[in-house]
Amino acid sequence: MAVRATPDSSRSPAAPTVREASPTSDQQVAPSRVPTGGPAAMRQLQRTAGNRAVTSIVGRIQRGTLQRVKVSEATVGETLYNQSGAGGTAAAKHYSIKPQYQMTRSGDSGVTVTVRVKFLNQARNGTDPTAPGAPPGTPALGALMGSPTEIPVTDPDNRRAWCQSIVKEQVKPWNGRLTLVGEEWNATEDNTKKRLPVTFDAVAVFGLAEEADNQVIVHPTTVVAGSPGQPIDAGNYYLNKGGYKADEKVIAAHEYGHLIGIPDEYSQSNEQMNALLHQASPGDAPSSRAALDRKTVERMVLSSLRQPLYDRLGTQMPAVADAIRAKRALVKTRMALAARSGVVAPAVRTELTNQLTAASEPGLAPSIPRAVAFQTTANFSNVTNAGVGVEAGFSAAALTSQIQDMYWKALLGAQNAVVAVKGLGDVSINVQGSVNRTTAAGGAQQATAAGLAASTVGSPGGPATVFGFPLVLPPAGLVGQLMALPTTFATAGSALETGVTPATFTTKMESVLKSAAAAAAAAPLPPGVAPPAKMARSGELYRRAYTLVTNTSREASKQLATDLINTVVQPVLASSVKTLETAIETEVNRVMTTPPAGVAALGPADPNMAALVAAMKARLDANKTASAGGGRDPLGTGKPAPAQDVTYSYQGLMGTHGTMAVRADQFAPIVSQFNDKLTTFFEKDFTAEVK
Amino acid sequence: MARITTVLWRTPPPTSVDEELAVYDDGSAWLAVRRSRDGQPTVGSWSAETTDDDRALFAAAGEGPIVVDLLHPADTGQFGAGAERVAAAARDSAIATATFHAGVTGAGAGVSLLVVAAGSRPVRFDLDPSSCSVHVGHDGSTLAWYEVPSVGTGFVTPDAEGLGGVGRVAEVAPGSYGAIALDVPALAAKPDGATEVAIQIAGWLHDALPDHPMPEPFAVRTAAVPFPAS
Repeated sequence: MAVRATPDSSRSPAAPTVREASPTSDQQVAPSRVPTGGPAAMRQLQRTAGNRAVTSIVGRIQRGTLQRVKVSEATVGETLYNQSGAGGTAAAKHYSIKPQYQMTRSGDSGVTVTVRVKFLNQARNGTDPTAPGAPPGTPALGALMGSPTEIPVTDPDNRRAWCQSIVKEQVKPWNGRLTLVGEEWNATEDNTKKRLPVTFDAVAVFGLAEEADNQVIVHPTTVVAGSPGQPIDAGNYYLNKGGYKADEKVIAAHEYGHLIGIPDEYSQSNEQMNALLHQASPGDAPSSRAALDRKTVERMVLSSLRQPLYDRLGTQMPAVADAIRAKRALVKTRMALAARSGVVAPAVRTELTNQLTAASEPGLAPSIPRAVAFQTTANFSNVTNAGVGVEAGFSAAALTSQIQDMYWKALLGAQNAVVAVKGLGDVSINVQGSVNRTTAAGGAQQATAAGLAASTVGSPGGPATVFGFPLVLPPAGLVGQLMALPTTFATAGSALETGVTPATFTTKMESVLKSAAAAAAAAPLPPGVAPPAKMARSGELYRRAYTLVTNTSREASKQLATDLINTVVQPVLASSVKTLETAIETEVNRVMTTPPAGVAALGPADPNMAALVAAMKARLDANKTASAGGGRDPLGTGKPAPAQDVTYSYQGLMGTHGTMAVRADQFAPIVSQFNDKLTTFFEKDFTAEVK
Repeated sequence: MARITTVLWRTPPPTSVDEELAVYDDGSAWLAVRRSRDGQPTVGSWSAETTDDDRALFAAAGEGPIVVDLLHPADTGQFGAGAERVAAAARDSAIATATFHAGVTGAGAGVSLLVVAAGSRPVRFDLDPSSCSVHVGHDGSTLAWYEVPSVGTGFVTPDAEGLGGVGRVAEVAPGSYGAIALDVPALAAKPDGATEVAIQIAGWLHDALPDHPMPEPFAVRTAAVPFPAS
């Protein structure tokens, strides 16, 4: 999450000033480092401090003496593109981090980083100051009111125990990941290799006057997170968070990262990503920016085409639905055969018996097997029930909705897939609404996108006149592929043959019956629903058995018909989207990587694709030019931070924390503090090793 | 009717709050909740009427979308307060909502997912079973979780009428309810200390806004229900 915005304050305004390190009986301050090391400087130090003193310091460290320092780093600024800009763009806002922690070195056995979090009690305003009747002077929604107070030891919600738990949880994703790797110079033998595992710790404190590195208000169970004036944010934790209990630990872990000096890595501009790529990769590694830029343009094009493609398929769906419906008789026939055998399967009859038994008075038990047998054989119309189910699944409206929705989901899935960026990790490319507007009605790329959508989706064909000659054009594009699908139903090994069988029908019926039983057993029942009385008469029993068998077989038929459509349509849609992605990628590569001399060899480009790619590349280039040189924190360094059409989010713990990934470069501030404050004169600078 | 403005309340994962307020020029405002900020297991649409002052306020903010990061709310002034007020008013008037519950059948061997619809018209959604999971735990903490195995059917009423929701869109009329029995064999070996079960659900909400019938992803987690000891 973003940290507190500037210029309001740093992220922990009430945190006490951190004192500089002072030695105590069990603490040793590290010897001050001199600018240069090595044997010559060592001899200089020995002359200055004396051999015994130097030897003593080194010896204590080697024996495992504790060294502890308090680290209060300079405020670190960060710029996030998490605001709404004009025309659907993402705008920037500035935030700041004030890292504070204690670092303890236990000789050569390890390092511990400790953050003290002060948990207090304070009310937030939940009254909208603009609402009619709001008292004059009502503060902003969510503003903290009055001064913080200590959480009572006898707190009815036992918040202190909850806090103790959260500080334990928030360090878990950090521990076992970082090792400081270095070596100590030896005059007469090989240097000593050192590996210091870093343990991260957080300590809860509750006293108003106690020292702490961060402050969090903890709201009692009477306050519901998310209610007016109670937004979830970095400085306010809620006991009453409904379904977010587990997620809160991840949020707290992310916050812990800020306290040790790591900024956010989500809602970044292209320029910021460039800086992050350089930070994450070794200095001589080739930058991944060009590859990321190409992928960005690809996603911009795909995003801008999503709505036009969906709309275009919608206009062609009547022909597709007609083609599929034309084969439904075949499906009904096969379904009826499957139903006749499937309904008498032992699994179905057992489930029916169980349900009827549960709904009946004990006296009806002897009649239940007869009722089940009668309703699944003599009184069961497989043709009618299968026909009703298939007709429902193959209705024009159902097919249109099902296929169009599947197409939308396939496009969204391709659009939102994370990108593996070499040297960094998984990144999401977030195309802003400003890009999609270019292909909406009145947008600069509307005609281009409509043309591309038409050629991609295709048409059902039919009579046409070309140069005055009447022709019958074949179906083309995605529409043509979809219309061809039902022609395969009659072939051996088809999806119809393998998907609609007595066994699959039985499985469906069993699932439906078990689910019906689960619904009947729902406790408590939804409002207004009365539990049914137990059946006591044979007539009731037979009617109930008939209802269950009829409804179940029809639902099984409908579900199998739907599954059949999904099975055959899904690969076609996925392939179509993949083909589109490939076409976009090809054009992007033509524009962004192919040398001019090689372009001709690639053949002519689709003019609409070329125009759309060029337009999106121009937008990205404009974004980059306008924000060039801004680095990771443009607003904090007086650089321009213009609104962006695309933002990026690292997926790891300090990004959108979709994963718990961390990188070595993120620990640079801690490593730097360690090297400055806790290494001996003979030790070379340590580096971070992360697993 | 045309959309005047859009307000999005969002958070990054894992909370991934996704609430959208769409204000239209006919005076209506629709709230679509695909992942609630308060963690309630309800998704769907709600609606409220706006005043002339509200619409003037929203029109001045522009088409948007105005994105509010709930983890770090910016100072959106009167606009933000107005949006919150209209959204809060909308919550009193459900259009089409689905609330999900976990259920335990038998002696804890079976788990079911229940949906209850409310509002003035059917709620439309479908599940993504491959993204659903069953969590067993204690006092809100997950001790183990299990993927939901292949789901054979959508939601079903006590009378075995299919409501859909798996492989096809569910259409659940207000006041109707249905369940899916989930077969999770691994539950038989649930960890020691597990006392409750909850279901994490992911899917697609359809027709949430009048001008956006397309499916958009939703996610909820049911409240935990007691899990019988083995």
